[in-house]
Amino acid sequence: MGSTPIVELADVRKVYLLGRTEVPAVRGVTFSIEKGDFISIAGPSGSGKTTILNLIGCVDTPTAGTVRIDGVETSGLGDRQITSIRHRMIGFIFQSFNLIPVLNVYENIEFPLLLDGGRPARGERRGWIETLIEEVGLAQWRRHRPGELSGGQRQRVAIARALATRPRIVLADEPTANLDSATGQSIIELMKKINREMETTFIFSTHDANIVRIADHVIRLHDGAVESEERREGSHDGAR
Amino acid sequence: MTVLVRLALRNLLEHKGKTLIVGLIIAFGVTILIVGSSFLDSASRSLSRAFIESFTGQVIITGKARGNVTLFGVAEMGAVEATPLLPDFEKLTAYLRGRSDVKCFTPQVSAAEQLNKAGEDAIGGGPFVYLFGIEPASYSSMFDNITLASGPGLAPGQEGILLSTRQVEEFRKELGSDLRVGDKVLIQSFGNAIREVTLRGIFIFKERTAATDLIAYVDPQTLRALAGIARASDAPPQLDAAEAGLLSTEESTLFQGNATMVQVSSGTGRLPTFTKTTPAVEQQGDTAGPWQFILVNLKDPGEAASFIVQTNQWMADQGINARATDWRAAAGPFAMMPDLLRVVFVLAILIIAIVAAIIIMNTLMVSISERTAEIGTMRALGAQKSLVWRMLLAETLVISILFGAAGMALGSALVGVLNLAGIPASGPLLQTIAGGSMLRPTVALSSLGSSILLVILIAIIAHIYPVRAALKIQPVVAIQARSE
Repeated sequence: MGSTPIVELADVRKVYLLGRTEVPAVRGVTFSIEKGDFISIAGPSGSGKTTILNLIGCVDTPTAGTVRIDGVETSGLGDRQITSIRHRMIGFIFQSFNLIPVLNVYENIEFPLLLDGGRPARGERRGWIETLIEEVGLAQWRRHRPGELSGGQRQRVAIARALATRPRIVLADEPTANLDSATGQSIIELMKKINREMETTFIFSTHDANIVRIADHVIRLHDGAVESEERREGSHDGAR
Repeated sequence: MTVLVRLALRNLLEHKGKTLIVGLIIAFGVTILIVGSSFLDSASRSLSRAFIESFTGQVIITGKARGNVTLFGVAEMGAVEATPLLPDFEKLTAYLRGRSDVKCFTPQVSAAEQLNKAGEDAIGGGPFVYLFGIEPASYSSMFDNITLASGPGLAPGQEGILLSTRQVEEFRKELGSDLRVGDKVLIQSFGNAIREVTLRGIFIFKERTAATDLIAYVDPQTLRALAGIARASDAPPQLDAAEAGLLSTEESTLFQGNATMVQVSSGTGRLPTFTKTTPAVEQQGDTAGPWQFILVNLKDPGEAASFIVQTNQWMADQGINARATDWRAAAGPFAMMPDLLRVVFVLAILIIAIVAAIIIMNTLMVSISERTAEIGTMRALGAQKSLVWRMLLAETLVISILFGAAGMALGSALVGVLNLAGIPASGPLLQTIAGGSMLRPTVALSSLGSSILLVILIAIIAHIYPVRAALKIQPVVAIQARSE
């Protein structure tokens, strides 16, 4: 426990301005996430889950307080620096999958690897992508476009894409919301497996009780504030 | 860059409707540009060839005036200026003979005159013509521009006039009288000088334009007499008793009966009216002058510009108050038609370009608004703004180059068809524009190059605003996107 937390939020506040009305979405939230955590940020609609995820994912900035990603404070950084942090350190899994429709499975997973300078060599890149495709069980679908895949298959592609750059953190916003229960369960098991094998930190914003049940660390929000925080030791097996 | 081109091509195929709208606009614009500029370029080339080969030559040397000296008078706004005489004619011709790059040259005088029936009252009259007073031998070796329909033509040193079949027809319509070779024709100047000359030939211009309809040929002495051009050495007039009596007759007596008003050279420059020319003047040689123009052809037409510069410098060094210019200056307003059309064409293209840019911009805006989640996702995954910009630029360039090339192919094919079929030009105006009776347009490589560059430029301008909108898309919109 002596290592630096991968994510630290200190008295973070976020206020949105709707016309002239100030809407506080997050009110003084403080918590930290350790490397390799499988953490669920849970709470009812409007509790601030997505806002917290946006702040951790560096797609939004706090009104007050500090957000640190692997020890780096993100507020005050320019667009290029923030974008670079997202590229190197954070993977995203969206509720709506958000795959690029004109690229096939292989190309969607490859896309983050082509974005920045210092991209891996072609052979190394190909090998890693094939590993991810195998990991998510889509070897026979590598040349298919998202429009030809089921919801569960698309989410598997999204998981593989989120892991392409070997990020420290994977943020998943309601990843099973658009899936049936069986498919959602298989997706959760896949992410848990990756969390165990690659020690990638998974941070979920979710209503899904299955995810909450198998998470190592659960933070419950209510009205933009932390209602409770629970750490479970040794919760690394599959869903119970 | 490969992934950007791949994304660009696939996005264009994915949104076929919008791609076709934008692409067809681009192809249409390029087709218009190719066909229009080919037509104008070909017309300019035909016109220059027709004028140079018919009556201007490549270079013209004239005296200096306030306005532009042309073969059809001095072009000056709001004033009438006489065409100046060429100074130091012998020196100029010696200079031209000494130049190895000169192929041939010929002198000329010209003036606007009115034709009339011989023996008729001078008031009223027939068609107006531009008379070119030429030295027949050097002129015919320089310009192979007419075909004699009847008559022997003008011989050196011989008085006479050549009229075109069109002018003979006009003469017949206005004056109700047929003209045949050997008939006498009255020529009346705006200064009220009159000369009677013999019709020595009726001709047809090989290349007809609005200018050639007005041109007739006459011996230079006749024209000098009509225009009041004389040398100081001309001999004084020799009048018989009856003619001398006229000089002392009161004006009221002169206008009784059929008094004939004629002109004579006095040897002092401007000729007085109501005097008659003398046989001595009529029989003086043509080549000695005075002249108003020297028309020059070079062995290499491409050297005309440098020849003009060198000749102007030489004349300045020699203190000769003359000027060398190209065929456009010689042709005056008749050469301006393709340029005027080009101005109109450029304005039309500009309007089409603006409309095309607006349509392309609106189509791109719609496309970007539909791809907000996609662009937000790319940004969330770590794509810098510059990548989004390059991706959209790649799409713009791919579509503009592909459909621009299609437009070039279509435009070139159309021009090819028009070239094979030929565009007939009927009437003097169209023939002036076309530089002849038939225009066969061709596509110049420069037109193709400039068309594709213009298309790319318009596409880039059109995509600036949509790209700015795209770069403002925040990654958070990807998280807020609805389900696929």
